[in-house]
Amino acid sequence: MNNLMFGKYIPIDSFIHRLDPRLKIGSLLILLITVFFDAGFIGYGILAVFTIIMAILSKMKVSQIIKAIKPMLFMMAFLMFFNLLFIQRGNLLLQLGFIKIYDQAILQTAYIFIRLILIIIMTTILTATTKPLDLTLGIEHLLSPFKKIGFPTHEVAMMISIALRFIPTLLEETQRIMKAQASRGVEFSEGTLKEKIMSIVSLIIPLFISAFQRAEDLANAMESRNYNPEAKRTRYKQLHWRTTDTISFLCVITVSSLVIVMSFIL
Amino acid sequence: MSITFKEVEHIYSENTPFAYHALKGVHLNIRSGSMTALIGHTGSGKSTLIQHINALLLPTKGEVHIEDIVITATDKPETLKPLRKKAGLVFQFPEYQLFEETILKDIIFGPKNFGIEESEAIKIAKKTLKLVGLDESYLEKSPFDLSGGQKRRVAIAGILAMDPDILILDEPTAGLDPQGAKEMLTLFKKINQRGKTIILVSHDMNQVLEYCDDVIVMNKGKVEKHVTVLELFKETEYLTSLSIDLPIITSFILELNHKGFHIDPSIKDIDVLIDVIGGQINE
Repeated sequence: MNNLMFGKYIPIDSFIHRLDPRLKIGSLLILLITVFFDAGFIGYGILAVFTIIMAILSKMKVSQIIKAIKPMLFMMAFLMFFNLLFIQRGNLLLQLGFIKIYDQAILQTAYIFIRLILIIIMTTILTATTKPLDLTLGIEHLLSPFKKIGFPTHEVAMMISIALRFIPTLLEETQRIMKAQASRGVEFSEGTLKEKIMSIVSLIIPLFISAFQRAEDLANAMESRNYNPEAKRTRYKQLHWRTTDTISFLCVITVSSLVIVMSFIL
Repeated sequence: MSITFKEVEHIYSENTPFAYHALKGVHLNIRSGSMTALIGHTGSGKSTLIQHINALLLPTKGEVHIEDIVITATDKPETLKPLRKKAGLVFQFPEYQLFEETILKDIIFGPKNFGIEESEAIKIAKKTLKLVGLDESYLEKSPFDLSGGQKRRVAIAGILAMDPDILILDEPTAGLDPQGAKEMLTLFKKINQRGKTIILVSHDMNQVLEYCDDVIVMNKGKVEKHVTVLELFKETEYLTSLSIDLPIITSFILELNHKGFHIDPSIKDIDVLIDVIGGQINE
């Protein structure tokens, strides 16, 4: 729990840190869509190189990236296992009783693996280089065109920023309750299934109670300050679009259109 | 049970940009059966220190000895479970740890985890609940229907029911009314007199003077002083430099001495002080 790397902001200064959050969110969306275009290994090679360049520019350490991937490994193994068994196209390579493995299955599984790794690294770069508040500010700006059709942009952004704000608080709370229960003899990693369920219950109930309590306190605090989501407000923090942002955006567009075009040609 | 720290260092999130050096070479020997206060500013390492005593945190470097058990950086957490029974830790605002349907179930939760039979645990629960000042009618109530102060008592009873030899209390009276705080501290003193070692984290110097024997001063991750309470309050300049207030009674005596009285500043009891002042006025 202590070493939860996924989605954590890393307070250093780098080229990517200084980019406009709107650019970073937009680029992530474009790149995520691009990842799903099948342009063969050359296409993924281009995307991988681009991702590595972004990682280097954001001054991420290899160990930090590995830490971000680790919690996803189980899910990835699960997905790959089923893909390998259930895709039945192409030439039969291996047969063990009822288990049949085809060459297409291996190819598709490799693609899924690469896609997932790329997605995780790209997302981690975004969250590691952008403060949660900048992130919501960027989302609010990007959503603002939808205001015209009655979409509650500000409310959504407020909800996201409150949710993001309380992630570390809840993690801290979880740890505190875990320690308090460990002091009463609970072992979270040991024991039979029944004991494990009991230990989770002893963690979840206090956590829910304090989360609801916090929600109520926050709602009261906002009410007592007369919070009105529809009120017109100004911002202390302003976003500035710079030339480097435009250049970076062009790079992203070039790479992604290259991969997409390739996927249609090949 | 004696507690010994040897060159203990603790670094949170080592090798990351968030690394924080909380303990910097702590040397400590808390004698068995003492009631020791742990004081120091926020961030001085008090909470980190006490979590080493029941092995919730393992030292990054150095060793912690609890009687004959040695805790080092490489220990496996599961081998340390017996230690959790020996050293009971009551966190700040322990009412957050309540989760059962009834108070009885919540109090026997700890003892049962350490392998005590349910019927035996219920007997202990009844006794402990009385000890913290709640009667048996509370046993079948839900802990969530209680007031804040009562919840605190139930949570503390949950730790006391484990019958630990060392009791560690992190600001147990924060947020309690003065009467409730006094009752709690009197209870801890009583437990101490039955031979248990008690460590009390406190910001209230009046409590430290009235209830504790020894005091440990932490500053910036180090133990700066480990002396008796009376010795500490003699060093007024040192305390001022840490912006720690003297106990009300001690500062009152010093003020009087400044005005020409000659009163022993180690007096703790208000009645004794009144007698001494009376005697000196008559002279």
